Amino acid sequence: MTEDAQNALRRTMETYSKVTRFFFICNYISRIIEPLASRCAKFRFKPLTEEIMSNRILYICKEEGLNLDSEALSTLSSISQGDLRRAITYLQGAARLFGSSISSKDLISVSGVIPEDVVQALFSACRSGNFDMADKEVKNVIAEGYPASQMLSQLYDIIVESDDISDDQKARICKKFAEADKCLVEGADEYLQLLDVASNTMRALNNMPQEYSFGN
Amino acid sequence: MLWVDKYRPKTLDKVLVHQDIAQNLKKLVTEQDCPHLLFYGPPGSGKKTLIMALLRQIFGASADKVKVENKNWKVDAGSRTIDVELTTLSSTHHVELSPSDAGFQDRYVVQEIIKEMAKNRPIDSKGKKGFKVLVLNEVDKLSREAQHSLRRTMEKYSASCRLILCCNSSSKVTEAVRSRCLNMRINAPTEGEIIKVLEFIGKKESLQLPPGFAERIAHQSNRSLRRAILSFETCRVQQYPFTSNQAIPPMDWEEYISEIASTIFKEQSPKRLYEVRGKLYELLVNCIPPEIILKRLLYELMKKLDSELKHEIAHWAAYYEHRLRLGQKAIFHLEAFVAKFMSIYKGFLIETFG
Repeated sequence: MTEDAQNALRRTMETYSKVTRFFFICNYISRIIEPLASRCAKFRFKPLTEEIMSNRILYICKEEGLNLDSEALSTLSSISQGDLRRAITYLQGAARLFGSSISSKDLISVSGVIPEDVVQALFSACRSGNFDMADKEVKNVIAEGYPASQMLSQLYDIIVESDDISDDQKARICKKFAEADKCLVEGADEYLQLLDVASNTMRALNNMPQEYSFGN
Repeated sequence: MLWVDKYRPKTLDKVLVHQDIAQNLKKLVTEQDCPHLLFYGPPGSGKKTLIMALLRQIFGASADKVKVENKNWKVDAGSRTIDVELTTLSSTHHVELSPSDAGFQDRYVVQEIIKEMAKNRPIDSKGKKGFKVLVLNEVDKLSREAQHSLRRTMEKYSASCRLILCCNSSSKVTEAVRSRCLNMRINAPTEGEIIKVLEFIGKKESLQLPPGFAERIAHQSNRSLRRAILSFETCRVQQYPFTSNQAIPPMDWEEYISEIASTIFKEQSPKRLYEVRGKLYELLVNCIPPEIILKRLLYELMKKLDSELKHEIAHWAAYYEHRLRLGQKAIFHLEAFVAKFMSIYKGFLIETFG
């Protein structure tokens, strides 16, 4: 809600506090204005732990008669990122498409997550410092129909987690990621943005100069 | 009839590429419970073909009898009424439309018109309540508001109406819509698959294909099956029997852009820029989308560049394409890109050759 709307709500809450109780649900407490937050008792919901999630998933599998191996289960919990609803949706989608025995590959194809090897291929192309190779990988990603925003977030995970990239390099890369993400939201072309990101990442990883300067 | 339409597979069993997806779809609809579907993939990868085959699988042959209608709607939006005109393609069981054609009024299309269609619940032959299918094209071009309204429609009428959404890039579809659909990624066919299809058509038309001919067409098609088949047919019209070294004619506009690229390489001066502007205008008035021009131009320019410069040019191409989306007049941004390229290239030349 906008700040104005929240302010208006503040009055309403006070006036009708005798007859009405309010329950508010939000994702970020920081976006609730202070006067409103102070009028409520707060309950914080932590993201579900992996254990609870997998218990629930296994329960559903048992009720629905699905066959889920342990590898698929761990894939499911990683692609859903602690979001149980999403996990269940993926599970249902996979069950509808592929029948009762579900492998981790099926789950990945339903969820729209890009397979690890595709992301790694692009990443290693960036590492190699060969522009044409990266260009080829980017073309391939687009032709395979993987969404660029998804590619960005998975590539981002790899880069942030790898130990052999210096903080300085990471900062350079992440800055470009943020810019490209904004451009994508505004409807820019996926191929060009991804190519720009790949080229920038390559320059950062191989310590090439960021700007091309000629003679000046 | 063009070969593209003539050899479009009519049923899920007959598709040549994406056989696994087709089989999954078949499994999906035979269980009588079809969720909302979202098909995404690059152009020429077979999304539409799969959708049409799927409809046929659900409803039988009557799904093929489509009629084109140009409909007018009067939408009541508070204080005023808005006229929306849309072309729909419908059979007794499904309606197909591109809501993004309505431009900035796409929200009303999604809110009112789809609602109106979804409300009428058909009754199937067994007297049971059936469902209707709405095929929406180019959902990625819908505005944010329209996508949000779509979400409500999907939930409210999910009992009587299934939506099949079709788009090029799923990152432009909001997460909320995506999570309500079963996402089907349709990848572009590989060159090998394209060759297989071309050979299949060649056999049906009883044509002699010289060795390597189909490979060359497939290679030039940029993994777009539609383009491959079209240029195959063009070759057939131009010269038959085929010779093994027969040139595959490139698209007119592509040739034109490669001309522009060589003009740019020859000389970098304001005079040349002026010339290039004229040519760009020519392309624009012939309805070639500006982002396609930019991408193709980048491709042509990249061919002759050092890898150092490639990074720089790729960056500027992305930069100007983004601006092009935000801005109004495409020519400004295209020309700015050309000017930028000229300046970088000239600087590079001066530095290396003095």
